[in-house]
Amino acid sequence: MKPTHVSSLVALAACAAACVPMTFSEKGAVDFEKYRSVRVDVQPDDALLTANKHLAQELHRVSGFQYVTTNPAQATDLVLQVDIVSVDPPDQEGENYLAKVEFAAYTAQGAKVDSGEDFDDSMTQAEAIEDALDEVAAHYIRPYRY
Amino acid sequence: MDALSGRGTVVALILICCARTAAQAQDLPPVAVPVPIEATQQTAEPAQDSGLAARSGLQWLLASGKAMPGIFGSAGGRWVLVGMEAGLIWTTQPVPNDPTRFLGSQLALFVLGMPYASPWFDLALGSGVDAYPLWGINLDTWEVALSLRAHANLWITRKFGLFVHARAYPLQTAGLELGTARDEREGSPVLFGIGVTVRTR
Repeated sequence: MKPTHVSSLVALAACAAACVPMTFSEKGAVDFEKYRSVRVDVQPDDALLTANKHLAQELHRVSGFQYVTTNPAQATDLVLQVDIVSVDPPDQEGENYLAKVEFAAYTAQGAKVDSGEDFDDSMTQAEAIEDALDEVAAHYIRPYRY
Repeated sequence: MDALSGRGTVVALILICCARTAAQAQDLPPVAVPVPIEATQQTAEPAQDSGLAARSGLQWLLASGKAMPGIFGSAGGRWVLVGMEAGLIWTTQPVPNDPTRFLGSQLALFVLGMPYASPWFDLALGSGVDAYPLWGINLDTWEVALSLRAHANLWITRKFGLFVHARAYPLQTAGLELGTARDEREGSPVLFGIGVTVRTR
């Protein structure tokens, strides 16, 4: 072992001894301090898909909103309108259904504060829609800084 | 009888050593002494063949406030290595009132060029992609970065070594902040990893 090799590794190890900061962060799609509650309104929604209920549950699980409801009679800071734009059947055997959704969040006064679109695919039509709605919920993930 | 045989062996060895030393001192051809094959391999220069060799090991990425153990593997020839990493990430500085400790995984694919290699030390430089699926936070949350890398390996034996890896991210997604602490304090933008490695040859 040559001294130059040892000194090189010692120098690198000295650098390595200084742990560097590294942060994973999410700022939040909207100001969750300002908009604490949200009402979900998915169109179209039917008894089979229960899209409203699914999105509300997912938002409750991952989002920064402190209160999520599907009840139109309840007053909330935001209304999240989601349109299931299309669900494309598979062209060939082995492919998946592809669901596309568009969404927008409005204040009680009707001002749009956020919007976007998402898509996802799955083996069944219902699962494809649910997965696309999961993407919408993930868009509103609670802010973090680890 | 055994004792005599043992004494005879010792005397023979001493005579061989003395004869060899004397021969070297007088610049005479030395007495032929068998040398272990392994010893000759340790001092020999590396073979200049282009055959593939593999490396694998255990690593620890040195990020403050994080525990990041992992494994890695690579394969290649004398000049080029292709490799991958997989690890797990925990925070060691939990956020108050937040039960989250496990954050997710660390994955990487990279290609390295090895401009210097000796039996004891080699240095490789290259680039790759680092991905952080943060499934401990949310299943759909990924952070991705383009990495520039340097790998330095010190081989303790022919097949076992220690290493230091360094990487920087010239491009990264918004939620990945290498060189920035949770309290926005700035630090070095170079992430080091250390560990142990073995190679096939």
